[in-house]
Amino acid sequence: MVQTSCAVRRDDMENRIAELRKARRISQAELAEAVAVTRQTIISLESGRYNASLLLAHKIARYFETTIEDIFLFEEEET
Amino acid sequence: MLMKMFDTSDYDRSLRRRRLVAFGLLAVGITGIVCYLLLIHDSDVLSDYARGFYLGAASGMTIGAVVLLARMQYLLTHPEARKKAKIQEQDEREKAIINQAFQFAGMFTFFAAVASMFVLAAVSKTAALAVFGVVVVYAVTWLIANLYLSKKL
Repeated sequence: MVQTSCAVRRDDMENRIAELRKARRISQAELAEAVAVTRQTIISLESGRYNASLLLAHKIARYFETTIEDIFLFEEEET
Repeated sequence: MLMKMFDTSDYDRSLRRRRLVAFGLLAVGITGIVCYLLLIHDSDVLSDYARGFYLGAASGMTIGAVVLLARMQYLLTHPEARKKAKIQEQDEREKAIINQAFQFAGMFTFFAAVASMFVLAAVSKTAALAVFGVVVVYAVTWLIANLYLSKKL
């Protein structure tokens, strides 16, 4: 029996929003207001339920004065 | 016009456009109610069902227009509420939720309509054809939208 090496790739995105926000001692509401989204969006981003668009990622990175790659950690996993 | 109404790049202008639309709807609604009272109410040209529908549509439009007008006026005169409303409308997660809900509702309705055709075909050919028409309109609209978006995006 020939077994094909068809790897299933699972792409995961994690982020450091909560960590950076807590380090700066700002609330979710304050961050939400600064990047013009609802507080619920920040909650979803922090919990990983929702992935930010490139535009929002850029806004968040600019707010924290860092790069997108520094906040959003893209991990490619082969299973 | 509709696209400009929901274009939030200039939110104040968008709100003013919506208020204008609300005025238009209010005028149509009031015209409907006045016509109903003066021409339709005692007339036997329309059936009871049609008269009820006429009054219902005119009243619904008027109430909707008043609510929309009040909301737009409130937002235009209250900067803090306007700011919150703008964020709520521009929020990408909210937009994603709305889009996905539409997708789900559209898909569900499509399959429900197709399934109902099997039942309706046995009961009423006219009703089955009406549902078939809706399914065809949905499919054609989807195709046109798909072609348009393929070129646009």
